[in-house]
Amino acid sequence: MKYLILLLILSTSIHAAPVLNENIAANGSQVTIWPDHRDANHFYYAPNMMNIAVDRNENLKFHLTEYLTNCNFARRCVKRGMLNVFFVAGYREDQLKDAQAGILRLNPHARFSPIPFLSSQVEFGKILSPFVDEHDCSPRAGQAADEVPCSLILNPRGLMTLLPYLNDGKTLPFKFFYRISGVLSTGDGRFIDEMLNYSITVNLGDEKLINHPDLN
Amino acid sequence: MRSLLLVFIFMCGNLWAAPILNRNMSFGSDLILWQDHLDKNVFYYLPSSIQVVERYHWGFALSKNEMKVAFTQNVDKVKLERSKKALLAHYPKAVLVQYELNKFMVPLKEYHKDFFREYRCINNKDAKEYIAYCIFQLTQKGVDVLIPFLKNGKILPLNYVYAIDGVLELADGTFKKYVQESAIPMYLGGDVVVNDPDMQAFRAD
Repeated sequence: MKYLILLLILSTSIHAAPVLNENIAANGSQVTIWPDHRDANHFYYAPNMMNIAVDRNENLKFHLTEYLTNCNFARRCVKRGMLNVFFVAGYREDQLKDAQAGILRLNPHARFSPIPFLSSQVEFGKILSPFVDEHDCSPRAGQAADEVPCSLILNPRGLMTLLPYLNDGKTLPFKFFYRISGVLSTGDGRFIDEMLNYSITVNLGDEKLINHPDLN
Repeated sequence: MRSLLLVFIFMCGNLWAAPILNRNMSFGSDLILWQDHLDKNVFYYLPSSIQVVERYHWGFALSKNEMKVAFTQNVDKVKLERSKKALLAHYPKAVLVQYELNKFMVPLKEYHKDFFREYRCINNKDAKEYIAYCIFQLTQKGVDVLIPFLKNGKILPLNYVYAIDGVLELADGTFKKYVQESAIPMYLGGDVVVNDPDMQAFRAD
């Protein structure tokens, strides 16, 4: 019986969660770092950017193909484009290191982990709707450093407008949302449970896309 | 007797080991390591992607209108080693376990119907050689557009949607059961497909 109670106590007392209303990164920093509510040496950091991923040859993971579909009896078809882009959430390394160094000066035992997502998703909003027939950007995306694949099916207007726009190095903004679970500090030493949604603005497009072979 | 029974029932709920999904214990890399809520030395990780298996392991086969593809789990071993090393400094008895993905589906979108007449993916619980085996029946557009697309080294992304039975750590140190539904990118394409003999032999009519 004593062992059962001991196990019960152990199983409910050794863990902790991020304090989501206490960003302890220095003022002016674009990095978010949350402390753990029980372990004074454990901190969590949040992603603050999202880029187009690269393969092992450093090529952008940006793939486009055009094709004809919905052909009628007169063999008139609609041209579509399938654009597959892979994004990855990340951190501005210099800003993150500066913020971590500031915490390490005060607490040399500090350890840092990326915040785990409970869920994540990409939302394009209405900005792309005139150009895109369909999109699939992982309504259920994965963990912090996982690639997020986005497939856009471009309609003829999208092919005519969007591709030259991207080829000029211009960008289209959209949002990457993620949901995390932690606690909120009530200011009197107590904590309450909380789940919060955060977002990062992502740009579809990159100056590296200028003269990309798939856009020419 | 009644209180003993209540404690027993409560304990039974807690004895089912599960990852703590709102706490990452990976200090050495951007990998996610979930600690077990009952055994502090057990940590779970997930594959970072699902990729096509090379042919000699079952891999890829392309016939006129059909593509058979075995997918395997890809773990970033460099990140895993870095995280393990950092973790062992704090938990010398730490054991890292790949979370077994049993419940899954590979949902296709409407536009995939341009390329696939039909498809079927089955799970392999053993997960040693491959985790999913998919058969895609290609439409003529699939043959004319998708196969050349893949042959050029491009990738059609699919999603391996999974569910994890875990727990969330609450403010008072107790746990609440939580089922996390998420997705791992599943890459149909890449070097393995480009270099496959069936793909090499493919000629568009």
